[in-house]
Amino acid sequence: MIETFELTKKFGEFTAVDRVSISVKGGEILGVVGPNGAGKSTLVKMLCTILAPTSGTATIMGLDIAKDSQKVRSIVGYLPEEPRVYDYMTAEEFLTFFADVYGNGRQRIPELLEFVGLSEHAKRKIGEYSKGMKHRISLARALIHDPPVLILDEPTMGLDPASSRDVRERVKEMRKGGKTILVCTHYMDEADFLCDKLAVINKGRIAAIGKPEELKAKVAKQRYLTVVIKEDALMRKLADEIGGEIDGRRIIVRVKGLNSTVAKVHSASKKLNATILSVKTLEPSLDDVFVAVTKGGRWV
Amino acid sequence: MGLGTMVWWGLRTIVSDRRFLLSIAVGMLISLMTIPLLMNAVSSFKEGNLLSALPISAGMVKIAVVGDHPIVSELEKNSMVEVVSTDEATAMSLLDEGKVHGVFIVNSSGGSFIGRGIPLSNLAESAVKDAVDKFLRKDVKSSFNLKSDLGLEGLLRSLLAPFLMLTPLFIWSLPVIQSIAYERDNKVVEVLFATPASRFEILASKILTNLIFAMVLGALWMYLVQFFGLNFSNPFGVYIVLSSMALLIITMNALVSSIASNPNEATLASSISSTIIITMFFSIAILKVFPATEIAAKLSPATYIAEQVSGESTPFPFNLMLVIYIITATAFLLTLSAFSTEAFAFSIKPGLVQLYEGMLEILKSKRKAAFAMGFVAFSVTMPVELVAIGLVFFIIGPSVFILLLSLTVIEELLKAVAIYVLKPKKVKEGAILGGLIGLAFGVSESLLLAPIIDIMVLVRVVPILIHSVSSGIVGVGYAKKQFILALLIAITLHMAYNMYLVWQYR
Repeated sequence: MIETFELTKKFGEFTAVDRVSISVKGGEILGVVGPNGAGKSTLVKMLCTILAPTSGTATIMGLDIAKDSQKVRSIVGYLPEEPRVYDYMTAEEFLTFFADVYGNGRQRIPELLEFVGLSEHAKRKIGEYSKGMKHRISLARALIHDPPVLILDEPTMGLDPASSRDVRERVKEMRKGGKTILVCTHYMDEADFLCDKLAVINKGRIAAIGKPEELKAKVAKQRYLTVVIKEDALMRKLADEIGGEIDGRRIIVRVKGLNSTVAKVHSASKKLNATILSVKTLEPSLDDVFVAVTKGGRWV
Repeated sequence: MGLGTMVWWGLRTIVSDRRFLLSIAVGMLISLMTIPLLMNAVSSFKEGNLLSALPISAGMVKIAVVGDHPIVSELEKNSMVEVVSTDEATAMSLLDEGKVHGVFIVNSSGGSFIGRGIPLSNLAESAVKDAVDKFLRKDVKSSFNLKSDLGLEGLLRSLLAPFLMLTPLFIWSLPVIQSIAYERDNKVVEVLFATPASRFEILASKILTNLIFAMVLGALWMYLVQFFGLNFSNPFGVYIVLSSMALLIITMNALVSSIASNPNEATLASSISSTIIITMFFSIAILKVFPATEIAAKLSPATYIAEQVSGESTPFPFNLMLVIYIITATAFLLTLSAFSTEAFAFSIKPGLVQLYEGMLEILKSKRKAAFAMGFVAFSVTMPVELVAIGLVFFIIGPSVFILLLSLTVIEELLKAVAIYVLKPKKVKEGAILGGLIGLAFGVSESLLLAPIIDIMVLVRVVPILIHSVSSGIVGVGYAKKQFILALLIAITLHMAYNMYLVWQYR
């Protein structure tokens, strides 16, 4: 279990993480999403005790990250943004080294290599691996000591779609084993697929936190209609008539009352002799949630 | 568990690098083959001044002789000296025009030597003057035998020993550079920091790994060189000195690698720092050649190695070893400070201010940091002062006042830099922090000078006190925003004490 209370990190005058309070239960995956430079990696590094917080507290499985940092590191598996590997070691040597440093895990090496699909390449030097393979051996390294808590920073960054899906599947499998997992990502489809809960972080602060459906519902309080007509030339006039905006091949109009708005659209189209091809309500995706929360205002 | 594991894996990594091991083996073989060549060259040197072996030294010292005296034949035997026999007026004219370095005038009491301070030949001139004086006093067996009981060949053989023993340390100390710089460059250091191993263990394992490697090679090297004529009276003592020097160079390399931008810069900077350390100690050892400077050679551990080869029975330089360990510990603390910085956690090169913050993070106390900074200031002072001594002699000549003033200014300035980094805000804080810096500095200096300043322990307390007081003054001055004035007062106080010592012991 991970809990933070007003966790803050400042670098001089710059506040990278500003009073972040989050909670992740056992067997749960929390996604921390945010734009580049939002403070995700800094938050992760504090939880892994690589950086000391400026203020606030955090506990992992009841252990304080400041006071019990060594114990925290023994129960956390950390996967950084880019694979950090020793190119001159083989996969087996690499895992054996970290197993020795953690003081356990040697017996798990064959199982882990199988888990990440690298059994056949165990005796090859990691320097010869592709990027996807390096990611996978990095994941195996994070799991070597069977940690109850996993912290994954952008686990699929730079991977092709097949490798990305592979890693996501493995992360979901680990959740079944009861592990507490925190995933940092800026891929919203990944967050939607993996996470039980999301925390949107922007400029160091938590802008929104909750289950994906809850966040969508929050944002979707303001509903919109999309209108597509046959006559491109009439789009501008129709948009002006109904108080909407053109977005590519569609017009987006804010809904004040669903029935009245739909009626207004039909009435305006008739007046202009425009042929309506479709009128739909617009449901926010997580990407829309992200934009709405981080940029403020409308989610379209 | 973490430290031992990392050392084991570190050694495994070094040993599995066959190319590196091969290059070391080839280097050692070539060096062993050159030992007999060097020894033969030594044997072929003529008796006389060391410099006479060099072709460029022929006629380096020109002496005008007025009158007939047996010293003329002695001078003429030495290829370094060119003798011009002439009358007194011509001789003095030549001296005034700078065409001769000295005039020897034969008179009823034997003779007198008039020298002239021309740069470049100062050392040669002083050697000649010394030899002439001794000849006149008839208290040496031969005018220009620099160490007559040893013989030139024996002396040169003994000077070759530290050269042959210390220069391989350049190569033996390389693994730590690659270890730190490589891990920072490809950011593996982040995942290491996320393991239960502490930063201390991670750093210590790297240094220990390289030290074990260097010590194994050192033992092998000492075993092999004895087959080529280099035998040590106390091999164990020499091995301790060699290992201590290895530890110093390895730790300095670790420090430099931690603050370098990339592996290439780390390798270059480490080469420079290793060169400075080895050259500094070897240069100080060379001073043993000349009677006037022999005592200063005790400041170098290389001298001990030279003495062991020459068969001299000399005590193990415990004080000097303590100073080396202090400098090593200081370098280790600074490296650990770099490891503790936030910049390092992001695999970025830490700046000097961040190094200080890292040090505070480790020591958790500004006062402890001040004490540590005193040792840092002392460590930096040594090579700077050596350069200053050389420059003073080269440009101005053997002026005691200028020499002492330059050394005083250097010491107070470097201690002041430490105070500037600490930035005391209140007068009391400035006094305490400055005092602590001075205390550490003074203690290190006393340990270093102990072998050559044969004075009572109680008297040595005074220089430590002077250092503490002068730095305390600078600390107070910083807090009161009168830094420059305080620095000038500190320099004046320190210089006054130095001049008192010179007057007292003249």
